Amino acid sequence: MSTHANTLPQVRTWRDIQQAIAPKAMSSEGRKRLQVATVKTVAVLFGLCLTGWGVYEGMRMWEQNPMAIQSPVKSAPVKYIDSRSDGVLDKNWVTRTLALPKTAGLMELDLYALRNRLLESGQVRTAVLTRKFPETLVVMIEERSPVLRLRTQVGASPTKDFLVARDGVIYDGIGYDATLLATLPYLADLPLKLVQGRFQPVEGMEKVADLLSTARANIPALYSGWHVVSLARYALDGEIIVRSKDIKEITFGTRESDFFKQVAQLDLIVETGHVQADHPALSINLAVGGAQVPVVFETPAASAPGVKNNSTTKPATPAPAVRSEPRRPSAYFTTVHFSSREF
Amino acid sequence: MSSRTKYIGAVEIGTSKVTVMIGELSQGRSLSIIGFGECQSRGVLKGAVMDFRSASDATHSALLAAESNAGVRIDEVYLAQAGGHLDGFYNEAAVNVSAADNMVSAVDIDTVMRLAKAKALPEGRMVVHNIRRPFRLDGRLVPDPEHLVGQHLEVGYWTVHGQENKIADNIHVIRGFNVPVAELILASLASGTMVTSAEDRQNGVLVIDIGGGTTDFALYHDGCAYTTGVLPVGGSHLTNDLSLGLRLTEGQGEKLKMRFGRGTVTTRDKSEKVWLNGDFAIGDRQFPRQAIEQITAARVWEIFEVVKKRLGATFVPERTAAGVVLTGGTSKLPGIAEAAAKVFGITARLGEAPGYINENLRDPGYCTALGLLYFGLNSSAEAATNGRRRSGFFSRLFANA
Repeated sequence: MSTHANTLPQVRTWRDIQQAIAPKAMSSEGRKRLQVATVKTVAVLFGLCLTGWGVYEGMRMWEQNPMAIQSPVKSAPVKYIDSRSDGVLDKNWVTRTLALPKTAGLMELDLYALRNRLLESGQVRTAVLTRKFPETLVVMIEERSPVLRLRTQVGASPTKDFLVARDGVIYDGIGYDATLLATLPYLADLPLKLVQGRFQPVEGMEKVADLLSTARANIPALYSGWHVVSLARYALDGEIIVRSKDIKEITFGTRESDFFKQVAQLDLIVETGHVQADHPALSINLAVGGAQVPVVFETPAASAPGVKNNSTTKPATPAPAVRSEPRRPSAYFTTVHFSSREF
Repeated sequence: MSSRTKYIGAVEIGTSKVTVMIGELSQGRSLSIIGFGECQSRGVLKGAVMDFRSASDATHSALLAAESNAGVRIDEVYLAQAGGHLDGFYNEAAVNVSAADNMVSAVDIDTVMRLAKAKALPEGRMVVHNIRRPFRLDGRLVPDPEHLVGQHLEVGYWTVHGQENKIADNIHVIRGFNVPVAELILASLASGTMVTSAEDRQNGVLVIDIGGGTTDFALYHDGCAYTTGVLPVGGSHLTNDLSLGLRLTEGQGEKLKMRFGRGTVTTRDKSEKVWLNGDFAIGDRQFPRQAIEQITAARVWEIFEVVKKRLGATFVPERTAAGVVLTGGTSKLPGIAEAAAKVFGITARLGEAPGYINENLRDPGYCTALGLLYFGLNSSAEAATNGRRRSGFFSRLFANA
């Protein structure tokens, strides 16, 4: 085969023609295109050279004097703190909490430690700290919203009000409006655990938050009378107990029926006159579920001697000398029928 | 290159006009025609550049028009090659299959192909195309003989060659615009691909592209081009004949050819006259219609006779079942298909670009440029496929083994 290859004549094809021609033989448009192509090539080469030189200089400096590379960024101290929050915490609080030294450089800051410092307060849910060169530290904060108040005493210190957020975190509220806080019910009947000086998060607060927000939106008048929310039976029966001004104990279930339905049942019972000022209810248990709601009323107290009872013609009997047995409150089941009511 | 969009230009520098089309080649797989430019040709005679500056100006004007029409810059050009200087010859070679089990290997194929292409050309000539005919293995036609069993492998090439200077001039006109020429393609092959189907080429078809200064032809058998050729005669000779025969200027002759010229004589009444302009202005004259038809028909007949003579024994009517297909600007002459049918003794028709081509570009005069774009698409697709094959992991692994 190689003998053939050596003896074969060399045939020239059109590809052997030299395509390049002198710029003089080109038209003006051709010359213009050639110039543009040349400029492009030169620019690319120049860019490559510049990059190569920069890399070389950087490496040389790194080998000979690494401090020279680090010093420019080290020498820029933090002048401004740009604080952005979705809640009530302001720039002063952020500055106070971070407590940066006056001469601290932007690159020297340990952002992780600073973030933990902000998160320690409990009111801050997330914090993002970024460096904005040359001299600004940007702090972006997402805050927790209070759902309930909690009054307790830690150690020997005086009694103090805390706030409880939706995720169960207990924290000191800073910067909130006092009138807003006054509308929040208190959390009660809850064993608190203190670990390393901080309260453990409360379980079941999401359900409580859902109940309160449903009540606040749909029965604002009744909600305004709610003073205490008890979680005494939450762990065992899944029930939330609310103590209000008008009704001593309202029990809400968290297992089956939704809060909207329970709140609607409560509103209907109150509105239809089952609960009146002269005939107060001791408790309403909405956790039973279904159409029937057990309502327990307080038995009316006996009339005072000498005062004529309007409801009965019987004369008032004197109070017994000895203490009588406690009387059971009367109770009945009320059937609640829903129609297309709007809240 | 195959991984991005490429803008390819198809350029036909003809005797009467320069046509440029721009195709947007996406991923080497699909092509859209996005630009078109046309300009009256100058400095070109019978398909060869005679005045470099004039030819460059005309070509560059067409290129600029196409670029501004498309809004992009051409990356490379596929250039049509025509001209009376082009010629061709047939050369074949044969080898005995080297393997003991008589299975044809890639080495056998490569050897026979190199032998068939290796024929010395006269001084100053260079190859434009090597068109391979089907392989013959022990006398039977096979498209790809690799791994087939046989003893005697033959292959033949139709080699198209031309004058080096004239080919270089053509390329330099494009290079004057600072765009590289990616491929040089015979005009008759470009137009032939567009106006015939694969089935036509398999059954046998003769494509005749009658341009302004040249007539290109290509004869297809068994799916590939068997013979090609260029005659330095075209539509401008019809005009010239009318000018001489009726004593007219070239412009007047062109006008009469366009309005009353025919490929066959149909007017029987010798006294029937036609007006030169028809506007009754001073200088307007009458000419006998039959004389016009006789002059144009005689030249058309002569062109076909010369083509037939050049084809010689290669042209067998029985092996050209798909007939004669006419294309090029002069093929618009009425009655030209009848003339071709009479001369070649087989059916003849006017070539039409495929239906997917835009209506505005389906004129027979644009078939060559469309064919160039088609070649550009095919060569890019082939390059993309080969590139992928080469870069495959297993190919490299076994290549090393």
